[in-house]
Amino acid sequence: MDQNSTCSGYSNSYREIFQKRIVESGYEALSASALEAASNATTLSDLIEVWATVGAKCRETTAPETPEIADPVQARFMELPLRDMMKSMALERACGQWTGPPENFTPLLAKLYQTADVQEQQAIILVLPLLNSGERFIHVATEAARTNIVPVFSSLALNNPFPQEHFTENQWNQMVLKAIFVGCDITRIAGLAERHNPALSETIFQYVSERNSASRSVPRSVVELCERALSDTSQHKLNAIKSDLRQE
Amino acid sequence: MPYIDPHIHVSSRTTDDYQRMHAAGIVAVVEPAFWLGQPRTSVGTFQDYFSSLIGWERFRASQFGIRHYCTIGLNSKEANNEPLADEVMEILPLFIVKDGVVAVGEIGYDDQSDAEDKYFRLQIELGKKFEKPILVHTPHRAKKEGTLRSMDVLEEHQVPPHMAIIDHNNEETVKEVLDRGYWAGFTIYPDTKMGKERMANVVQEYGSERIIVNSSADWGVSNPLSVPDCAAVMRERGIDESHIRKVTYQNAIESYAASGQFNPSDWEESFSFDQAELMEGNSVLRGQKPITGTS
Ligand SMILES: [Zn+2]
Repeated sequence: MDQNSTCSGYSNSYREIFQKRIVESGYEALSASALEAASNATTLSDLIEVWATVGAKCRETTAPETPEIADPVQARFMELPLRDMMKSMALERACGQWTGPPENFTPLLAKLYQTADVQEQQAIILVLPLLNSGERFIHVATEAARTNIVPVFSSLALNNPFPQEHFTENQWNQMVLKAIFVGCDITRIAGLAERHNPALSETIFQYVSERNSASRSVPRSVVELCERALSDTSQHKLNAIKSDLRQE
Repeated sequence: MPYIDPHIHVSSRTTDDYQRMHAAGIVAVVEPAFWLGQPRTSVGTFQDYFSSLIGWERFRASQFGIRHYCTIGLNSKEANNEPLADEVMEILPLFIVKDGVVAVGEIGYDDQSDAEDKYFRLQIELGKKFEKPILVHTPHRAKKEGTLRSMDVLEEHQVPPHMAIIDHNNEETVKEVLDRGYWAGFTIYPDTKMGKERMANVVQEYGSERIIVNSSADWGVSNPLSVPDCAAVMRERGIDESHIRKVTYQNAIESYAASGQFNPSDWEESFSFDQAELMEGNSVLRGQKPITGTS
């Protein structure tokens, strides 16, 4: 699959869901003024002020009850409160309309992330694929890949094309492994097949062996991923333990 | 019966404490920004501390079915390092506007030095600017004098009394604090200072209007179950249930309500938690069997 089309499909979806939610909730005016203010932002405090205004005026502070959306990526965007989605769109607007030196936007976004609450961090990570020259923000994405706050980690790892496009093989493998460890549904990782590699298969094999020795189960999807690029030697070993292995 | 601990430094507590608190009926906590037992030496450690109050600690509490809020401020002890205090003042607004920040605090006096006075006043103004209540820490030494002085300063800055909580009261200070219209916080300590029995006496004498019980449990000798334990003592004494509910739950909500960030609906309806989504390796559970439930 072409990576750019993955990213633009995601971005279009994100904008579409945002528009829909704004209209349904009657926050068009607030959204318009926030995005307008964001496009004129030239400093961190400008952006903080936009966020504070959105925070004070948008009362949609929790995610809607399980929405009926079949598309998994679109459903993902409903997990964020509208207020935080609005903050993320303000960030996107500020990034797109930035008139200062491009390199100044990177530390601004980093600082915003460092001082953000949980939902704001999710909002920043979810909007990363919409920002131009995304490679400027790999550092923030790496922070999210390391966090112990599972909702923030999932914002990066699940249904988000940013890692697929920007992570090195090592970063990618660490993220997938962590997703397995925290019990995420790895089939939701964007680019799981495209970015798979033999080194990852071997590491997952070690994980599967350890789980088996501890008589613990392994999701079927993890075993499948493991077998995608496994060396013959490891495949033999895996075959030998397969009858004992509890798959779920 | 649900309880709120409106003043507890849960970052210093273990997950066992969270489990016991949840089992005892504590549904929400407020963690005031304070010091960590030894002075910090750079603004970065303050920033990381504030970030953890709105990030990691909030998430950690939610895993145990407890809703976590915080207050943001520069404490009086560390206000005495003026160059650092100026840097901290600069980053406070970044955090005061965040979701779940219910007050500016805990601020006030420790030694009652000039520097403490300066940053107390500057932060009172910050509270007014962001329309947040002020949580005032009263000094353990020269308590009465420090408490009266704190209220004088609040009045000088024209803070309406319902927008300030004067904390760590005792029998010596309570009357004046209530007479002047403030919320009066009481910290129940295991051995010294205010105890559960004395707290029950205070409620018997002054009633439940604007009186709030908390644990202020931290890294020192303290008890994270002080609020429910104190309720039990009041119940044994035959204090009316409506009074108990006010001082261990309802008044906490009303005192922080002005922030617009402390709503019972946050924990009454929508707050369910599922530890299973965390699994081992990466969470605070480290391989134990997860508990699933609703707060
Ligand atoms: Zn305290």
